[in-house]
Amino acid sequence: MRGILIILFAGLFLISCDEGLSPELADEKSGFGGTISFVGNWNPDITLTHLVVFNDPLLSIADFNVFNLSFVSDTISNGSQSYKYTTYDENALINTIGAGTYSYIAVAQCLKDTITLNREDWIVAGIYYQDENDTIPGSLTLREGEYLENINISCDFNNLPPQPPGGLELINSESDILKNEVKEPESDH
Amino acid sequence: MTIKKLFVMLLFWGNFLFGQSGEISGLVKDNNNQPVIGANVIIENSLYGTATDSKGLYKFLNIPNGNYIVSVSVIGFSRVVSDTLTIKENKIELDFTLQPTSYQIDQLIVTANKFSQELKDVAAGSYILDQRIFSEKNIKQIDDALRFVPGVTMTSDQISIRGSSGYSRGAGTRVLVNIDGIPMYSPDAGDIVWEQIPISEIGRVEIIKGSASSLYGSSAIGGVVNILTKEISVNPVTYIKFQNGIYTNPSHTEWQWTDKTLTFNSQTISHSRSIGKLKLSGSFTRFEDYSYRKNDYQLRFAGFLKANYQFSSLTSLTLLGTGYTRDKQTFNYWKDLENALAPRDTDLGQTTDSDRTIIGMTLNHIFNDNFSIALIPSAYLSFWKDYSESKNKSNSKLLRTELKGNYRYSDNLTLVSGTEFAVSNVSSNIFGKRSSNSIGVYFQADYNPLENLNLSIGLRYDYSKLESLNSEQAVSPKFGITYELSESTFLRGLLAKGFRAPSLAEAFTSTTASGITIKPNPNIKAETSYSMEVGINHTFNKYLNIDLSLFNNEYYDMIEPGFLTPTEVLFSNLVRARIQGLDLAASYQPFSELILNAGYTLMLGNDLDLDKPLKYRSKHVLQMGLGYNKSFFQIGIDFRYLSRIESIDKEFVELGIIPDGDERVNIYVLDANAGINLFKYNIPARAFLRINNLLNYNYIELIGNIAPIRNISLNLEIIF
Repeated sequence: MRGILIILFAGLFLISCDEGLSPELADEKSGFGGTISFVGNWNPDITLTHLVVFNDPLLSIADFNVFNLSFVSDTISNGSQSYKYTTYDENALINTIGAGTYSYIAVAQCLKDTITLNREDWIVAGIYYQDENDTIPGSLTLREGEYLENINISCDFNNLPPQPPGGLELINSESDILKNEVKEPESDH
Repeated sequence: MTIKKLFVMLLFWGNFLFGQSGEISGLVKDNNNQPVIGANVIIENSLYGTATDSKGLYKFLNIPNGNYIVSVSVIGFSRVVSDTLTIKENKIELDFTLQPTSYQIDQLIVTANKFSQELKDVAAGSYILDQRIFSEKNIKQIDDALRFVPGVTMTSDQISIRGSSGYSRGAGTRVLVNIDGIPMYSPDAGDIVWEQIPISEIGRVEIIKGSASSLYGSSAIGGVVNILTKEISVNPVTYIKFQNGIYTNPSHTEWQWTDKTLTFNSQTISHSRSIGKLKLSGSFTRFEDYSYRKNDYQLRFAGFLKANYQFSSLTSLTLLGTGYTRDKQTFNYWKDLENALAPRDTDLGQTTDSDRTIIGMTLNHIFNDNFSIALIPSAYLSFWKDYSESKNKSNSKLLRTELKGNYRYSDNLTLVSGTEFAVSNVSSNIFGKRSSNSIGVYFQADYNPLENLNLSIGLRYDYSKLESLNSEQAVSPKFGITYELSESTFLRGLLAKGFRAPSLAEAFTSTTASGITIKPNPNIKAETSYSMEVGINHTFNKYLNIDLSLFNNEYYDMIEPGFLTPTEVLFSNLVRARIQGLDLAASYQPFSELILNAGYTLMLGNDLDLDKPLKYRSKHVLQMGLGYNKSFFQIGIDFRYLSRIESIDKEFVELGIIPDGDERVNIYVLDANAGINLFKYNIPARAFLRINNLLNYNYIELIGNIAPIRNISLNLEIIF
């Protein structure tokens, strides 16, 4: 019996030698980063621009909810030509990126002063595609501890991507505004 | 008449009434001829009770002429009962020798059915925690000791028995905690404040697992923890304890937030003595903890007073008061896993001050051999305020009275009945100005149709009214059965209905903390449960004792906090839940010096509506303890394993309120202790060294809160 007890507690000792939680766990978190490039003129009425990441595709307005959101970057300054981002950014407004699949990664812009969860308040300026020629939003799968680079997004204000459901009215007017902004210099010539 | 004159009259009244009396005294020792300190010595079927002093001596004075039976009990030893003794103005000297034992089954327990009975006759799974654990394991606070009880888990400071509770942010409790039968849930939040319980004054702790609403009402839906303070010795006893400890460096340099050595210390002085028929006990404790976490310092002063006056062998009055004043910094959640021992920057500098006092009285009177009553009024006064942005504060009081009667109808039928009234008033910026009241009436019959069969039938009616909420009524029946299959095998079964009215905090809290707004819910209603348990206790060859319970608890309208919107939390009747499992406790003592205790609990708790695990519960819990005691020296080792908490409030993580809040792991904690007891050498002192979390394993019980890292403490106790 004494031998069994020694073996038992030795086993428990060995199990306990695992250190448990550690800061490295945070470092080893899955994530991704890349560059967002902007083409065309910025609309001066745009107040907020963020990189947003959704878990599930935005197939209906109901998918535009906070529980489907995994990441909202810090505000991207108006007029930026390019913006380097990483999901490790401590200033992100929402960040639950970890191992898993993310089906919609986009740059979203808003004319309101504060962040809202109303789909109508937002316009999508750029979407991540797995291939430049794709027209369907690219999904991204991260393994445990994996970090993917070059998840780049191009935002062409002259050629906005297909908009997810629920914001068409505003999008049309927004698009017009953006197009007008772009067209104006052309008319001068 | 002045109070002083009244006091003097009370003091001598008993002496006038009972002139013809004698004494019983003696020594209680173990099989190694060592005195047993703190053993409970009682005269059966009377109100006389005392404890052995630092030399193992006990004494009963002024015992009226008559025939008596004396019994001695202390956990870890078999209970011993004397032959009938006859007092006829004489002095009887009677020594007891206690034999160590690994099992508790013959110990007396008073909590299960509100009268004293042997553990083997209790239908509910029960456990008795001995006072020695508090010294030997350098326990700072009683909840640390409860972590060693099979079936009991703690999520930070919130107790759960067999998975009854997850984490409700200090609102309400599903486990009723009493001190000498006086409930300790706070008047406002309805939570248990463990700091109020003076470690040095605990005689033992009785734990009833599973619903006990049929006797105890609302808060006992998950079980009862009854803390019984020490009996007061006739001989003067002074107890002094110094505890000093340090936290070692965190295992990761990234977590080190100061170059200073972080320490904790406490000083306790306690004294008890008898003056005629008045027995007095009091203690004072100062506790200071610099903590292993930033912004988590606390300084606490606690006091305890107990006075017992024995008017006669038939009437006694006990007054009890316990309270503390505390200043504590606030640590809500970590900043993130890279700064796991630091709070969010916005929480830095926040503190909470609190003052809490419980005053209670127990008047016992035995009318005859068969009928006795107890009147137990109490008051709980609470005040706290925090220095956060919202400057929350609360001033509240709870007044409660219980009248209980015990009637022994015959040798095989015992009846217990009683009624309780409680009124509470709260004035707070987060709870509002609220009041509540409740009434409970209970009845229970314990019947032995056969010598080895005990049936227990109970029923309780509760009415509660919480401010503007609809009044709640509940009828909570129970049926229990125990059967002595053989001298070493006992079977038990229990069916019980439980209920819990929402606490004031769950209904009316309106505040914002850590970015979350807690909203009031005026539509909240009581939750109910149906519990079933079967169990067996078997002793193998007197060395090995095993106690196994299988349980199934069905909860309806279970109150849980949930997210109404991404930033708003509401307590509501969300959950239809089922918690099934088994609870296994084993004790092995191959020889008197060595004892191994082990407990395993399987808890399968599911939210049946969502088909998901209930939040903040581990599926597997294992506790093991090995102790070796030889002569004046003892060593021990303890191990706890809890499987990774399956489910948490994911919103805290997804909304970024608790960065890295989903980081959690299995829990493996190894503790070690060593001690020396110098009483054998006529030096009234003992010392204990304890290393908690020996391997510095980093884990959480509550998301965003690293549990205590490795800490080393030394206790020095002097008893004379």
